[in-house]
Amino acid sequence: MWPRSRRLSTPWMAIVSLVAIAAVIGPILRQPPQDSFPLSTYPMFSSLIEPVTAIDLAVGVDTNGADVRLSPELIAGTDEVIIAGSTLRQSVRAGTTAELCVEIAQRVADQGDSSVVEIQIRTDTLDAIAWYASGDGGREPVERIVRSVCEVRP
Amino acid sequence: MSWRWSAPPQRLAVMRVLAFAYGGIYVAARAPTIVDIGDLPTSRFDPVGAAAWLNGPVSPGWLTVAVVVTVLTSIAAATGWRYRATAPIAALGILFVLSHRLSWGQVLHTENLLVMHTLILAVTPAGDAWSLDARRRRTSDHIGDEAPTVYGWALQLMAAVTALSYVVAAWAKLRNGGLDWISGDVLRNHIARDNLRKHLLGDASSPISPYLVGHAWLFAPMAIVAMVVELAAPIAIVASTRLRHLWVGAAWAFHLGVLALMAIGFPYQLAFVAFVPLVDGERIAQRISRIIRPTR
Repeated sequence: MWPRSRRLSTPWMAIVSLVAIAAVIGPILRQPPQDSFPLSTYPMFSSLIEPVTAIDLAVGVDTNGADVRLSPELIAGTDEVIIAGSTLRQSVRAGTTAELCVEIAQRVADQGDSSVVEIQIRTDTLDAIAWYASGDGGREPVERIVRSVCEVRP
Repeated sequence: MSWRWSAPPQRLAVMRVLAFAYGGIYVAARAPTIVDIGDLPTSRFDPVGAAAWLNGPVSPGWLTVAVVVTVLTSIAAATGWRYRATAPIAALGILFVLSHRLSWGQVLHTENLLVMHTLILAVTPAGDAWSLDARRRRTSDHIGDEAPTVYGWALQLMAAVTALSYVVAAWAKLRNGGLDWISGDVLRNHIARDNLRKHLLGDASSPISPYLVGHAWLFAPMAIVAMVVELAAPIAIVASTRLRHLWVGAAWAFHLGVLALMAIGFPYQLAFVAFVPLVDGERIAQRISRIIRPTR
């Protein structure tokens, strides 16, 4: 039970204030600074980066050999795009893309989309500025590493 | 200097209503994702925050219980029913379910202030006015004359937490990017990469950034404005009312810009709840009330 308002003491308010303020600035005082939730270093979009970026992708391939974009639900079993992205990243980092590929192929097969015959997990390195600023000419990958390929078996 | 140490209890009550109502609605709206995530493979679980002590993900059944308790206690806290019991449960519930949802390899920063504000509200007497508790005690809803500094302190603390979070974000940019960050190139690269990543992964991306990225000169002013808004956040707690309101408007517009350029929504900020500790909420509530019920 919290004290009644009129009994909130100055030490109590001081302690709560110190804890709250320390919680907000604490993450940046740690070495190395540590991002978490809800105590954060707010590192998003702070680093010096180049426009060229490597993106881990899972794509379907149809009978004509064309890419078919897969939903987050098919990639990671969730409708959260962010989790689909982190699932791919984790899998590439851990070297488990073969297993993830089979999982995705199974989900595609269960969905019954017959146009997708193959799943590819790959890392495309792209120039993001050129992608937007140079039209189709800027959309070719600088590099493509195919991590795993697996068949979709209906 | 307008460091507002005194405030009527109604001002804190407005923040209570909005923050807990927002928290309850937000968790209810995200419930399917929050619950279903418990079904993902344990190998992908990378716990953060209040979930850091867990060895593995919580089952969907228990997550459902946590969501239901959080939503119900958030509603209770918003209405000021048994506030001293329901508010801490609601605040911890919001903290836990959102920590668990972010424990899958990607920490986001859009919900931090919601969590911090509800945790602070939970240890303050925000249920003293405009609440079912106040009505039950048969007191008038203006009961705070004996300790207006308590209500002012609670609001100032939330304002300080809000302001400091922007300063920390600015510090990260200066620490990681240095003065190069405000050249605009870094911001342009981030915007282009983030939008491209979203586009390729099937997420919503900005409809306008593809056109802006080709115009490099636009990004230095954008970067400078973003940095100024973040570094100027302490104005929100020490400056005059006019400057404080100016900063609030600039910070809100900053989030609108982030939404437009990167398709990243900070809903707590965009809904203005994050900035309520920085305005005279009870006056706004009374004005709205007069508009809704003009005969009274």
